[in-house]
Amino acid sequence: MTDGKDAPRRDPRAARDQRQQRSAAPEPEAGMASTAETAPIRRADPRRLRNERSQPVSEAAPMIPRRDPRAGVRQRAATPAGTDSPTTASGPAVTRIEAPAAWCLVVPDAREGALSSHDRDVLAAARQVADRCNGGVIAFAPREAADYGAYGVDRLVPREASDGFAPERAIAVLTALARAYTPAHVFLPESLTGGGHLGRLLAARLGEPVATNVIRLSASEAIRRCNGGRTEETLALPKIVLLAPEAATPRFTDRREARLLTISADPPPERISDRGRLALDGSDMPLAEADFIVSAGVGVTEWPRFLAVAKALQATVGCTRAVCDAGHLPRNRQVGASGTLVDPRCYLCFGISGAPQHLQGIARCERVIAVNTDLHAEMIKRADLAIIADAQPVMASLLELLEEAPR
Amino acid sequence: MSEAPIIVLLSLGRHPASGRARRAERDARALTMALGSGLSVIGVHAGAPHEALRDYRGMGLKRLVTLDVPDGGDPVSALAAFISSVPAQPRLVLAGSIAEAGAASGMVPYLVADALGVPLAPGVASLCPTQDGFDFVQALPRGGRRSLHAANGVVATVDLQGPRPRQVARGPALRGTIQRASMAATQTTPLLLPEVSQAHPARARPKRIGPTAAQATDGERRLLIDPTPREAAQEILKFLESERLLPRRQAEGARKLEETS
Repeated sequence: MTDGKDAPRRDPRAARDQRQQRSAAPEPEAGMASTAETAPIRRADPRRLRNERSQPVSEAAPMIPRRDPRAGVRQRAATPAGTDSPTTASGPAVTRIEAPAAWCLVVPDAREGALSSHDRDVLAAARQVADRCNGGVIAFAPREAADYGAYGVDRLVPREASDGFAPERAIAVLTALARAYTPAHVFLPESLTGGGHLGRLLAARLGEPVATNVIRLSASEAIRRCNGGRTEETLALPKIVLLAPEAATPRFTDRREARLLTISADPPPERISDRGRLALDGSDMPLAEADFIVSAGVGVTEWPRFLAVAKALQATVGCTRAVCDAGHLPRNRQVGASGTLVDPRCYLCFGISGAPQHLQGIARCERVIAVNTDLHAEMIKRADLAIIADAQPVMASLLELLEEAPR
Repeated sequence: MSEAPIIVLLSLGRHPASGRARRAERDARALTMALGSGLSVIGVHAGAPHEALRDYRGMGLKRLVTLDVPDGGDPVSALAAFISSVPAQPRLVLAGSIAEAGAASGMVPYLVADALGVPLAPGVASLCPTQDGFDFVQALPRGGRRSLHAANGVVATVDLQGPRPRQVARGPALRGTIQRASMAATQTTPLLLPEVSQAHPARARPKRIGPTAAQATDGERRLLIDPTPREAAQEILKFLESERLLPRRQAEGARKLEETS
């Protein structure tokens, strides 16, 4: 008890006597109905009295204003990705390690020089497993793609940011790292031409067991889907782990050093030569593969205008369940939990309020632009650029600007 | 058949609702790609001959071989031995990227490529035979496509971006015999699968609704309340341009607009 020992101790009997004297001459309390005989005297709150006693108001420390966690989201200035965090003198504390018990190697895809949500899940998994065994995380990824220290990466081996197909080079670096640091685990995203390819190549070359399509993991076990998605297997976490999307949830971690590491590797020549990317129009792409989706909800009434906007932006058309039910667009255009799960870089939606199932459909989307009349819609909270306006005139202006652009 | 053939690795698939054995979707796409290339095709199945393999014959496959591999045995060495034993050296081995039944790790094409000492091209959407090899179109995430070239002697995997599988014709499916072969395995190749401690039917897992609180969003979030339609449209175009998503013509126009506004 942190009672002020100097304060005079209340005498409960004296207080009771005082109350009884006061009740003889009733004083009506403000806001309370007073009876003829006794007016209820508000009992003094002993804890309040004690607190007031121990903290004299005149010398009280200035009240620390309560920080509103939501306020930062809207006003946070854009920090360009990849800038190093300020040094420990002025910035957040950085945890440094020198020789941890074990290393976890992580290889995010980092396509187009940016981390996707799948990559962030894989980094989170590596950090969480490393935390359980007091280990460190080495990432092999392009340097400019993200601020790796914030993701808990202790060492960073820079990778060329080009988007070309060069698996032999990556495998040479990974085998050199595996030999030098003998990592306990290597984490890669399960993507067909990226981490899934490198992980399986590495397993075949090193002769190490590999767990593919892992949907949940802990420090010692992994759960993977097999048999066409019908069966789940639990197995001991092997050396190479390929993670499905959403296998781990990113959590706030201590900021780490992300010290640059160089490793020498002598890659053999690539036997499959990359002849470059092919340019494609988004309009004929299936929804599941689309890169840029323009989507309509019930708030859209001018359908020819909406389709013209999608065509002018060379984007793929999507919509919500309500729009499909009303017959405006075919069912294969439905985005959502029971429609298609989409993974575009950008999702521009008009008149969509953001039902949970629809938001599940765009969970992996990087950037969302929403035009809606309802300020409190869930989609507005999800959006990176939210515009509170009627969709129809905005679409008309957008068409005007897009048509007058090539001049 | 003196010209170098394409070998297609075939496995049994399962119907998603009934579980009935039938052709596997990705293998069927790989077979369609092979049959459309104009070269001779040999289909190989590592395992006991099964009636459902006739679905592949029904797609127009003339020669289908099954290898004697016991259940749980090593398919990779048998496949590699068979491919090496084909008189005209095969130019290409096609496989589905992942099986529909069993452990389905997607490792068999990689182990076969390693055993044969050839490279592997994953996620091929279409191919075109050339003088000295093949031109592949590889399917990338978000609808991208990339052009690759490989010399003769390469393994390629096909996923759902491959060509639509041919229909199965009942007559050719029922006619003819499936050839059986047994390969003397000189060495066993481990499948590199970790030991399974328990297996149970798959549970539905909750999907994420949006980015989690800890996911760093690089960039600020903006809210515009009741702007004029023109302002709103300009903001949208500016955002798209910063994400490099505008078609090139519009991107130049948007930049011009920004300079004038």
